[in-house]
Amino acid sequence: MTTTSFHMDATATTVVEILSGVLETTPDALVEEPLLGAYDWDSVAILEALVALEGAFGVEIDLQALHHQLTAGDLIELVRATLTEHLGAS
Amino acid sequence: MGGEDTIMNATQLIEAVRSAVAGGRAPDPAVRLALAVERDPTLLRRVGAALRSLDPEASGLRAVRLSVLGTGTLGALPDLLRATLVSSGLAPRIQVGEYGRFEMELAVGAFQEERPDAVLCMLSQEFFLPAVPQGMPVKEVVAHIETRLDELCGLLAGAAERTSATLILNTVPLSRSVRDSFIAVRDRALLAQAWHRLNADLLGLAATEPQLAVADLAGLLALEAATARDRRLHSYADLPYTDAALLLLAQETRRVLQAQCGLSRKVLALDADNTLWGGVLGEDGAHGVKLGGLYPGKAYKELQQTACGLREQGVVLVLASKNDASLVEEMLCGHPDAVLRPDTFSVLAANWDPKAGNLSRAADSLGLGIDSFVFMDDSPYEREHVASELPQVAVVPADGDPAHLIERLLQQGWFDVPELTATDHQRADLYRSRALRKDYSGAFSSSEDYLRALGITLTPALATPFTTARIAQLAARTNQFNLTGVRFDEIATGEMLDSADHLVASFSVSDRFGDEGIVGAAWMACEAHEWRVLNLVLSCRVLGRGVELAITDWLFDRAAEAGAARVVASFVLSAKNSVAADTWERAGMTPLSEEEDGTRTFSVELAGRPPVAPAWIALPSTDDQENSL
Repeated sequence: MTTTSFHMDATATTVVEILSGVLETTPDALVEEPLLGAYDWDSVAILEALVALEGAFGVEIDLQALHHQLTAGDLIELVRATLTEHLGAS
Repeated sequence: MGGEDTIMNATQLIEAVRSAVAGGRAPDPAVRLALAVERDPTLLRRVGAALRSLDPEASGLRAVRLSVLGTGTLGALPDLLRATLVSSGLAPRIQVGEYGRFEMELAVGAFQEERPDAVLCMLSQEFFLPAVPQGMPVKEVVAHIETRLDELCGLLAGAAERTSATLILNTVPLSRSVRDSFIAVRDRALLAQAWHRLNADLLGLAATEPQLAVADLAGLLALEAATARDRRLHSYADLPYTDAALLLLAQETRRVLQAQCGLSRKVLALDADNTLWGGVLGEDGAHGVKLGGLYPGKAYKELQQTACGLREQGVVLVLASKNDASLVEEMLCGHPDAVLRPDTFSVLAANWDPKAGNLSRAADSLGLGIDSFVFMDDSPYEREHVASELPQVAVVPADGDPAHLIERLLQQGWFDVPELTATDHQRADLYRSRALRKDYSGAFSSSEDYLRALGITLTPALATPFTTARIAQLAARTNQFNLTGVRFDEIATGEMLDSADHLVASFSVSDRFGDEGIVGAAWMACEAHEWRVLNLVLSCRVLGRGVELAITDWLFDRAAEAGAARVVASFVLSAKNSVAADTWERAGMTPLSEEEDGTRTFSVELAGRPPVAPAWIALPSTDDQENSL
C-alpha cells in the first residue's frame, strides 16, 4: 500500500525532517514530492535513514520493512506502527 | 554535549556550515568550536556531507590530503572525518579506496596518486578472522589471526616504503557473535588472549614505526556507551561499525592530524574560584575553600594535578581569576593542598578586569596566538564573554560536578602533540620567564557590546519582612564589596523597616543566563536635608558589570525625590574590600575627608547630578517599580 498524503503531526514532522536531510532536499519539497524513488533512495540512504530514525525515536525499526517503503508517507506510517508496537510491548 | 554552552542547536549549526560552504569559506571559529564538542554522529555526518563541496585550498584552513581505506564498507566515515577535521582547523581532501580492495590498494600503493599526507586504514575483525571461525578448533583460529597480522605488517611496511604519508590504523573490537560461538570457557579465554595480543601488537607498531599511528578504537569503545557494530548494517551492507564507533575513529584521526599539523593548543587559562577549588576565595578565605581532603575538595585537587601534568608536558598555564592578586598569591603559596603554585603559571592575571582582555594581554606577553588558548571557567557569564570577544579560544565549562572536570578538559585532545621533546618539558618555564607577570588594570571597552547583549536588569525594592533574612545574610557574608563593613543583622534591619528616618533596599539582578535573586542591599539614614549611606553590599557574583552604579543612581534619585539636597557616604577599608575602594568616586561623589584609619567620606549634591549608571543595565519601568515599593 502506498500512502501519498499524510497528516503532519509531531512524528511526521520529525520523519520528514530527517528524511529530507538524508535525501538532501527540504521538508517542503519532500511533502510536495513524497515518492522516494524521485531521490537518491539507495541502500546507503536507507541505512542513514534507519540510523537517524532509530536515534530520534529510540526504537528499532524493521530494516526489511523500511527497504520496501515507497513514499515518505509509507515511512511515517512505518514509524507510527513501530512506536505503537513499542508502547504496547512496554 | 555542550550543555548550556551550546549556542547553536543542530539546525543552526548545519545551516551555519551550509552557508559558509556556499560562500566558499570554512565555517567560522565559533561554529568550528561547536562542532569540536558535538557528539551526535547523525548531526556530524550531515555536517560532513555539507562540507563535501568545500575547496580545501580556498577554505582559509590548513589543507590536508587524506586517503581512507577500509576492510569493509566505510559508510559515514569520510563525512565524519570532514566534520571532525574541519572542527580543528583542517580542511581535508579525502580520497576513498575502492570497496573490497583494501589489500590490493595497500600492496600496489593506488592510494598514492593523490599524494596524501595521511592514509587511514579502517581495520575490522573480518580482516584477521577465518571466513567461518565458528566450529573451528580455537588454536587454528589463533594461528590464523597471527598469520593475518604478519601479512598486514608486510603490507604496511611495503606501503611505508612508497609513501611518506602517515599510516593510521585502529585496534579492533571482537564481536560477541564470534566470541560466544566458542562454548568452552577455556577456548573463549584463548581466543580473547589472542585478540588482545593482536591489538597490543598493532599498538606496538606505533611505538616502533614513526610513520605509523594507531587509534585505540577497541579501548575507547569499551569506555563508551556506543555499540561497536549493528548486526543489521553489517549483514545488509558490510558496515563493520556503527556511526558512533566511526565517530570515535574520526576523532582519534583528527587528534593525530591536528597534532601533526601543529594545530593543537598550547595554553590552558584557568579560572580559580569554583574551578581550581570549590568556593569563593574572597568570601570563604583560603581556609574555607574546598581543596584536597574528601570529595568535593579531592576532585578540585585532581584537576590541579591534571593541569600540573599538562604543564610538565609543555602546556603553558595562565591564571585568569577575578580576585585580589594578593589573596590568590596567598592561597597558591599557603594552601597545603594547592598543587599549582604561583610559579606554575606563566601569567597570573588575578584582577577585576574583563577576562577577554586579560587573555589577549597574556597572549601578547607570551608571544602566542589567542587561537592556541583553551579557557576553563565555571561561570557561564565569563565563558560567553570570552567566547563572544575571542571566538578563537576553546572554552571548556567547569560547572556541574567537579568530579567531571578532568575528562571535560582532556577529552577533546586540545593539547595533543605527536611526540614530546626536551623543549616541551621546558616550555612552561621558558614562557614564564618571557612573560612579565603583570596585574592588569583597565576598564570595560570592547566589552560594552557584550554587556549590552547580556540584558542585565536591576530590580530595586524596599526591604520587606520577607526579604530581611536574605538582606541580613548578605550583610553577614559579603566581604569584598562591603563599603563600610557594618553588618546589620536581621533585627537591626527589621527595626529600620519600621523607622521613618531609615530606608533599607534590596537589589535583584537578572540577565539572559537567569535570575540571581537578591544580590545587593543598602541601608540609609534619611534626614530632611541629607541622606547618609550606612552601608552598601553587593555579592561578588555580579561584580564587574557596573551594577553598583545603577544602584547608587537609584539611591540618589530616591533621596532627591524625598527632598534631600545631598547624600553622604563613606568607605571603610578592610582586608578584603579593596575591589570596591573607588566605588563612590565612580558614582560621581566628591571626597570630603580622610581619617587616619583610612576611612574616607564622600558627598554628592543631588541637584543637576548626572546619572552614572551604564547604559547596558535596565531598570523595570517606573510603574512596576512603584508597585514593588
